[in-house]
Parts: sequence; C-alpha cells; structure tokens
Amino acid sequence: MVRFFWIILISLIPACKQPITQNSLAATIPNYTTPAPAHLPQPLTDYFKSTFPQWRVVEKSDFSTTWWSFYDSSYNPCWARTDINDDQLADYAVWLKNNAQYKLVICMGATTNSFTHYIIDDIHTTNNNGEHQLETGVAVAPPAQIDVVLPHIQSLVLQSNGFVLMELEIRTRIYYWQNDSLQTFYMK
Amino acid sequence: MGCDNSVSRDYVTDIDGNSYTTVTIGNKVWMAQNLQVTHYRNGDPIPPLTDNTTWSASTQGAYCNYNNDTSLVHAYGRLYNWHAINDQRNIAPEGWHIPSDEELNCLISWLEKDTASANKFKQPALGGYRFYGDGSYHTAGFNGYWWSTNRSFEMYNWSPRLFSALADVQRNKYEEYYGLSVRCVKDQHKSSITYKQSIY
Repeated sequence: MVRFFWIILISLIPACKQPITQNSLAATIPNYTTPAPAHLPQPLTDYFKSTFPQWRVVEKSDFSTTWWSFYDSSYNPCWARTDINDDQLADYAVWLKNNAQYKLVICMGATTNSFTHYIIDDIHTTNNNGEHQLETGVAVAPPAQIDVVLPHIQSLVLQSNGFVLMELEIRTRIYYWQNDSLQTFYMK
Repeated sequence: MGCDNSVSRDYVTDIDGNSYTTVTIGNKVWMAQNLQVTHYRNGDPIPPLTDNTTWSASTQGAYCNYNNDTSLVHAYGRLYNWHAINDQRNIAPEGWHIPSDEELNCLISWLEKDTASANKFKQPALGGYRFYGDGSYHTAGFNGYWWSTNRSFEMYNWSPRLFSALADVQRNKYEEYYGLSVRCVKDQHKSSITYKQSIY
C-alpha cells in the first residue's frame, strides 16, 4: 500500500554524544516527580524558546492519520518525561518542529539554572507527500531486559528508565544513560 | 468475592513502632505507605546491607535505604531482598502478610477501574529499586516496585496502571537479589479494626 503521508527514514549514524549546556533565563528546575504533569513545565518551554527560537514543541495534530490508526487519541507521542540518570530530577524527550523539519531533543534536568540537552542526530525525517506529518513518537521505557534480533541478536539490561522511539507500532531505539553519557540501543 | 471501589483509611504499627496509613480496596486492607521495619516479627534484626557486592551475594534476608541515604526512609520506606520476604520469622506486622498473586490480581482490577485512586495509592512512595547484579539504586521518585510472595508489582509516575514484570523469583532465581519496597495486606480473618474515615 502506498503511504500518502511522509515517512521517517532512519540512518545508522550514531546519536549525538556531545552535551550542549546553556545557562538559560529559566528558573531553577524543581523536582517534578509527582504527579506526572499534563504539560511541559514552564522552565523547559522557556529554555526551548531561548535555545531554539525558531522551533516549537510538536502537537498531536503534527502526527499522521496513520499514526493515530495505531494509537488512542489520549496517548501523547510528542514528549516523554522520566528520570533516566537517577538524579531524581525529571528528564525530557521532546519533538520540536520548524516548518517541515523535526528534531528530537533530550533535556537533562538539573538543580541549577540550566538544562543540558542532546540533539538526537541519528533520525532523519523526509517529506514523502507534502503533509509534513510525524509517524515516530516517543515514550518512556522502564527498567527491563530487552532482547532483540534486529539489527542483530543482542540484549540490553536497562537498569534505569530510558526513552523509546516508536516508528508507528515498532520500537526502534532506546535512549538511555550509562557511564555518564547518553547511549543508544538500536532495535531495527 | 469481587473488588469494589470503597476506600477507607486507618493505621497499622510495626514492631519498631512505625505507623502506616492503610487503604481498603474492595475486601482487602493494604498499607498505603512503604514498610520501613528493621526487625522481624519475633524481634530478630533484619541485617542492613550497604555494600553492593555483599548485597548481590547475600542469601539471607536484608534491607537497605535507597542510595544508602537514611534521609529518604521517611518518604520511600526501605528496600528488602526476597530472602527477607520469604523468611518465616515474618517481616510483616502482626495480623498482616505479603500480598499473594490473587490479592495482586484484585488490586490490578481495582486500579484499572479507578485511575484517580491509583494515583493516590502510589503517592508518595515510588521508592525505586536496588539492582540484583551490582547493587546499584535506580528510579526513585518515578517508579515504585513492591514484592508479592514470589514476584514484583510496579507502578510508574507516568501511568496510572499497575504492572508486574521486573522481578519473578520463580522464573529467575537471581532476581531474589532485587531490593524492592513492601506493602503488606491485612489478614482476612482479622476483623477487629474498624474503618472509620472514608476518604473517597
């Protein structure tokens, strides 16, 4: 079946491992541990405005109808929130959009007036049909042993939470924290 | 007997004198806070283990504090290995016990019907866990893990659902070395406590 929306092509280029820290105008990041918020906290949205002024956080309407044929509308694939480095501070994986371009940013929470963010550069979106709609969402991956056969047989013992990238219904990446750096586990 | 959504609150006290609020879920009374006892019911001490290597090799009951930080005990309770759960000296307060699979299934059914109460059930006690392999601590404040008689049940900050997947000591014996929280259930035949304060 020919897909009428644009698709996500994913290369095998490793994810960006160089953190980018910016002392921002944002206030000190509080510990957003309970309850899980329905919206991104204001310090983080302020951080995005100052760091990526041409970009905005994606909305559910940025996802294709094909995506929503797999998921209930109550599900939020635009961003995910958990603690991936066990500092008991919330970290975020957020899709940003600038016209037809998308990028995934992982922001590590800090107790000071700053965030550290990582731009995930192993994901390349291509406009296939002019609709400019996403078909790749983000979610939290809780601790577990994850066994996969593609791209080769391998296992990941995920000790803390991670962020999982989902290409429609298929989990294709897990971004997790290990050895003081962001790591990528490829599942496709 | 099935589960209903009636919830009420009272207190139970362990051998150390720690008091815990409780919630009534259907026909079961659960602790609403994580256990932090340091003695078995008969008064024998439960050994604290801070050393990671010792923790990952101990075949005796043991407890620890998340990140070996006593200041977190009030919020999160303590973490116990499965040997402490399985010890016949009994870690649970008098008249209480570690939840069975049947009781766990009843809890799951209830939480699926009432997500608002599920959120209240898991707060403020998402105390993380201690990994079996290297004794490291993870996920406090975002994920909570509790022992049942032979496996774990989990709740996450980002979901109202209850899961059961991390530890299963019948499937993998090495998972006995996980350090998880404990919520006890009141024995069914003990009915002397009356539940006066309805909160929902």
